[in-house]
Amino acid sequence: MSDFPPSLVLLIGAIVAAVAPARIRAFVPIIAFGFVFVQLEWFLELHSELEWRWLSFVVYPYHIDTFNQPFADIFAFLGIAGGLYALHVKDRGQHVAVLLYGASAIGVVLAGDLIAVIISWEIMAVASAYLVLSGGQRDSRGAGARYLMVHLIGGSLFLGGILWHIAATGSTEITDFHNGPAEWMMFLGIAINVAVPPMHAWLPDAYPNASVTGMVFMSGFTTKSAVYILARGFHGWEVLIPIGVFMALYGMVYAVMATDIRKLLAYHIISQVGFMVAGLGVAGEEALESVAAHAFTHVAYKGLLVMGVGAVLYATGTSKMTELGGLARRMPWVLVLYMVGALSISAFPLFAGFVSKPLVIGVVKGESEFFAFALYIASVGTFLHTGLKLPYFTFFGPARAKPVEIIRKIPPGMYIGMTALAVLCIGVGLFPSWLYHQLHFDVHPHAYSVPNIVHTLELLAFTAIGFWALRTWLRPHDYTFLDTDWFYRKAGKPVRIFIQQPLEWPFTQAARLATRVANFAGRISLTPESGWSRLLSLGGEPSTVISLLGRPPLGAAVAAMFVTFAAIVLLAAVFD
Amino acid sequence: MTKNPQFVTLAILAVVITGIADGILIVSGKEAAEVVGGTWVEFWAIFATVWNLVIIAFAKSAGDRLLHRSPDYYNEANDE
Repeated sequence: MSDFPPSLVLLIGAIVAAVAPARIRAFVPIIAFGFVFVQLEWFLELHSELEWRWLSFVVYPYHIDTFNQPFADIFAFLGIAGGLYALHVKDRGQHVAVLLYGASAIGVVLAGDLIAVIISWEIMAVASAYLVLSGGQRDSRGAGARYLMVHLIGGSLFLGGILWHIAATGSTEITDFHNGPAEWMMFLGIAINVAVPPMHAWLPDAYPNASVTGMVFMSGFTTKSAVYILARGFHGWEVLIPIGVFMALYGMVYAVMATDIRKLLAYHIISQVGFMVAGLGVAGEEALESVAAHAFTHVAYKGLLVMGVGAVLYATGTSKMTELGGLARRMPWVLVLYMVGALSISAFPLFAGFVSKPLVIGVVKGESEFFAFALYIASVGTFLHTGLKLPYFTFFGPARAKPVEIIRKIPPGMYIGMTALAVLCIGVGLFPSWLYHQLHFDVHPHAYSVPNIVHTLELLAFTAIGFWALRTWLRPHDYTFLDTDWFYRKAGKPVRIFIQQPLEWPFTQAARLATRVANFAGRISLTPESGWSRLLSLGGEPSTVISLLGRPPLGAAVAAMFVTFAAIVLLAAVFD
Repeated sequence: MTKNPQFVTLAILAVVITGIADGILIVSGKEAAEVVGGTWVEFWAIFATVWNLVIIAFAKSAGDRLLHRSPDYYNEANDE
């Protein structure tokens, strides 16, 4: 247990979930993430690592230190809480995908070198794409396709940058990178996962279309693992401060406009990750610590918020604020638990965000007061949309002629998962020293100073007063709004005709051939519902794996990879 | 904009309470300038009110004039 890679535990869990009978399948993620959490907390010692040799490289699947351990810890905890929340899910594919996703996200943050990072990075894109594709929403398939395409481009850029960096320096270490073309290429690939505008549109496009339970994991893993890599390789790049501040404001404004509760939270992930990116632009240990603290608390409260709105969607069948309202009496515990997350993210005293967000603003202020002001503005917006607008129009709101229909009862597992994260949010808020100890801070900041409490309450109180005065201006209407995904969504038809369809042709032919083979196997089998016919076909249809190959996203994704690799080769030729 | 008397009373009460709290901080010497103007009485109240108004007005005007489209905008675009 002491030298077994945590990611491998989750990979084994994925295999078990793939073959386990339905009645125990849903427990596998809880057990696997629980095992990893125990392993990380009590068995894997700091500075321990595992060394594997692969080709001419030495690969370190894990290397534990004071900075990456808290990231892995909170990912594992989110895995446990998310597993409880998803206990009712019957879909085998989602359980497998969640475990693969968790394995790769923890793999990224524990990786001891760039090779181990990129392997986990690519698996993470595919596993998470499944959670979007299986979302069951109207646009899940399209959003999943776009998600996969964007992440394969990002992965290719990151891979290209890594190869270039290794060729130039001979080093696979994840360390402070110098400012060169290979490093910028890596940065661009990471920036896609961090959701830096204008490369952010995949996030508010895909997350609201993911499954109710899938979005919980997505809210924690992808962007925060990318923030971790940014912290390792690009900490102190001053350009990150304006980029992060822009993210904080951009995500906040779009969240204020959003009328879909899941989209609102998706935009707000961009805003909160912006705080972290801005913090990373400041050199020094204090900045790194503040970002780690904010990433840790953010995984907890964002997971809780996503669970809350997921419960609303699960129970009512809609996530549109135009169709919601008046749910406070009918879903009181969902409201209470959601508000714990909302007060945490708004940095309300006694909740998690209060002990982490001021740290980030503090380090940015040391570098630039102007940017610190901008982060305070983003904080006002945070409370406005997540703490006031969303709960008001979802749980209270103007009287409706016909009450919102509850179509399904919320399963107990959902409440247990939410409670686990709510306890963490309140626990961290009440006992910040525990968090700072967990993060291995040398000096524990004094979060609960009187001026800090007074100013925060003042800021939040007058945001609430402003909201109440102007709430009719924020009344939701049924519309969609343009973002940078317009460029590739509008280009859908030309891409489909000239790139996707020609590239899909071999896969389509392969699927047809597989169907014929499966049908043939079915005919020759003694028992049509068993043996080879069952292995190769599902009710006469090609097997899931084969039908996945024939799905439209793959053609575009392959095209994107070709284009990216061609660009990398060209760039390498130019710079050599 | 709401003109509910109870709300107006509550807002005035909030201004008074925060003003007193800020005053106590200044008199007791506990006030620390987090940002320029941070030590002024009611600074954070005015900051929140003004920026709240700006954010809502900007989101509403930018949204209505530039960014809002029908809910089926992308599906219509794909069907063309």
